[in-house]
Amino acid sequence: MRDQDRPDELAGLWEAYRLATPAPDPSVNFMPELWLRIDAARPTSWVLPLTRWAYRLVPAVLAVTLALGIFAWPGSQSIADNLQVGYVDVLAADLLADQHPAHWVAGAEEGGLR
Amino acid sequence: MLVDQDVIRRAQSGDAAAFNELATAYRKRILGTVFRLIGRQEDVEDVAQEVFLRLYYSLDQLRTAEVFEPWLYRLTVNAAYDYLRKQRRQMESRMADLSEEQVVAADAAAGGKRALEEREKSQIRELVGTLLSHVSAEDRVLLTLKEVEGLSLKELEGIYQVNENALKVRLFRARQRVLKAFDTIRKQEQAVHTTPAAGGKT
Repeated sequence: MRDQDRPDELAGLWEAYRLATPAPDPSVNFMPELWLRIDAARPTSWVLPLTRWAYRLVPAVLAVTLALGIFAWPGSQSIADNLQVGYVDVLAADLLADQHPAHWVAGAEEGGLR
Repeated sequence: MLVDQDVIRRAQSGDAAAFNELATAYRKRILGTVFRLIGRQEDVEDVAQEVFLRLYYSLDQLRTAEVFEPWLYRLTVNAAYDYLRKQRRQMESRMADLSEEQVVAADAAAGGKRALEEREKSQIRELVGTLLSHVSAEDRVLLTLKEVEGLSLKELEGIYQVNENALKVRLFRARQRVLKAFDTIRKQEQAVHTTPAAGGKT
């Protein structure tokens, strides 16, 4: 391959770059500034327990959601069954519900007198 | 390792003095690596501090003290990526930022062997920076770790946690791109040297 014919072409350049980028000496403020940054990034005392609590809460919520889903599954099946009931069936059931048992008794008595 | 594993363990358990010892021992090495990865001396300390900041808050995730160095390299690589990505976004504004070159030019004007050496180094950094701008930030970091830092494929495997073949393929492609850019620059330079100066004889 082309690259294999000229493997060291860039090697000299990398070496020169290594020499041109020596590790700089850290400034006297390096460590004090680092500690300031660490302190600035430190979460406040009430956030840390809250974060830990939130981390535990997420799997708990997921577990509860899953459990509720499983629990509600047969219920959702019956809803689906109800949806398959026809319009006429619903009307008939509604009519039946409107008729109070007292009406049936009165109707039967009237029929008996006749 | 530059420190005892006991220091790492103590730092992990929240011992501030141990962390201070750890950071003091590794800061020079990290400064060097960051300088080679980002190529801009003025931002080296800032990125190196970011590395140690991330180390401080992630030290509890380190499983064993034996893998501390690859872990630290990984944090360095990530901080360098973030810096380089941000730098790319700010490319336009940075075009006008010639602080290093201006300083070097001022030094050169003052004369002296040291200034000349510094100018040469600056030119090399500029050339390598231009070549590496032809690859992604990820490839730039990978190539620098391999070619300049001299890390082995095994060490890179530990840092990137991908297999050797994937790294080889990625390195090969990155080298090809850099080589292509190198050829282009060389041709441009040759064209400049061979073409008679247009304004010279007029």
